[in-house]
Amino acid sequence: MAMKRKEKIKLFQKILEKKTEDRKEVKELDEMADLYQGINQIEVPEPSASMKEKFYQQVDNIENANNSSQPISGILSFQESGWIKLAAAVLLIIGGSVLGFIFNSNIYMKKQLADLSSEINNLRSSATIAVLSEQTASVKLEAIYNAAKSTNQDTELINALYNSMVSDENSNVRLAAAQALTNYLPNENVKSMLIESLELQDDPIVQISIINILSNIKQEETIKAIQSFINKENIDSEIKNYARDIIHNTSI
Amino acid sequence: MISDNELMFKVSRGDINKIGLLYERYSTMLYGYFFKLTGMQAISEDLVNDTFMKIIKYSKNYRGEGIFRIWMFRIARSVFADNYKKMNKMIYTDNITDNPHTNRQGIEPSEIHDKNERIHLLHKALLKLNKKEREVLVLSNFEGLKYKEIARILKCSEGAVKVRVYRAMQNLRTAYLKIQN
Repeated sequence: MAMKRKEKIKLFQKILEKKTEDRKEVKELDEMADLYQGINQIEVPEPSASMKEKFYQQVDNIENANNSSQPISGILSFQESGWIKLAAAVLLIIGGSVLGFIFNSNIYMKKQLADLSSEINNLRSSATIAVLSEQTASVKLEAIYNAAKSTNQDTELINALYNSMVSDENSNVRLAAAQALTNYLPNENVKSMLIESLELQDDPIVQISIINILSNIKQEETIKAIQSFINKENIDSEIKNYARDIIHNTSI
Repeated sequence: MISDNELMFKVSRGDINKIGLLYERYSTMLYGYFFKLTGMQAISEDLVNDTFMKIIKYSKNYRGEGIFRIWMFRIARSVFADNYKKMNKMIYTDNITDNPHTNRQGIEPSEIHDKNERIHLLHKALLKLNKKEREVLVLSNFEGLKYKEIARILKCSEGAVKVRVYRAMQNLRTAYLKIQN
């Protein structure tokens, strides 16, 4: 009888130990489930704007490299003339800098230098206009990057950039032209050109780029243009969502 | 809407600009993945762009038979692995970007603070785990990624994924308690 009692106590102790272990295991599992859900709550900061900029720049570089490695026979003569004009512009810049250094104190030479600088801008503009009308994408891109350095409010150059932005068959050229036009802001005419071109673009990257440019202007007119773009049919829903986010985050 | 596979097909045919739409669709998701794995904003941004550059580079190998994001995450894993040793020297610090949660109605500020602190410690504990454990926990927490898909990303069976998650969670709990104490 006494033995049986002892056995019962032992058995009870074993059950108690097992239950304690089970409880410990359940507690551990509860904690693990809690932590697992917590991983989802780790707050991720917004990526910086430069992330996208860097990416699209890298894509451009790849495409430029691809374009420049394509065969160019048959159009060499056109290219040569464009390059000669561009090379002449570069030489004039260097020449102008040297002259400026030597004759810095001379008022007369300063005037000459100003004239020369204006000449360079004009030459740069006319070289760009010539190149935009008849060259390959890589040459056009080179010319547009060069034109972006110009400080001239040259209507002809602005028009040439606008034409490239809306009608060039290469989307990288359209993109570069749109970016180059931002140099002429807050010129009202340029602003209207950018608004107008948004309606005409079909490439998502160019659309996104122009939306960004317009939102950076931060005017009622540009935000309205983005809004009307969103309301258009046949626009990719991702782009629409992107544009909505931009409007939401832009304060005028 | 143009499907991921159609876009990748165009990219593989040389229409590189089409990668932009895929980038808009997935860069934030990938950034979240890398941020949870590294705790570092700038490095996560670089890893996202490196992944997309590799997607362009290997686009010709893309067969379009499966789900794009599985292929994308495989590339993301390899980008993370390539940079792991270099980054590991920088991880394990207190440099996790602080992002206090905003106050919400009905919750005491002290409760929010406690919760933020807990999540912050949890992220630190996660960064103490090894590369494979971190990966499986972050992937299994992504909305919309099924165990079956994770198994294909990690190139193992579905059962193996579940075992890995369980073991990683045990180690995460240990690391968390250690940091907490």
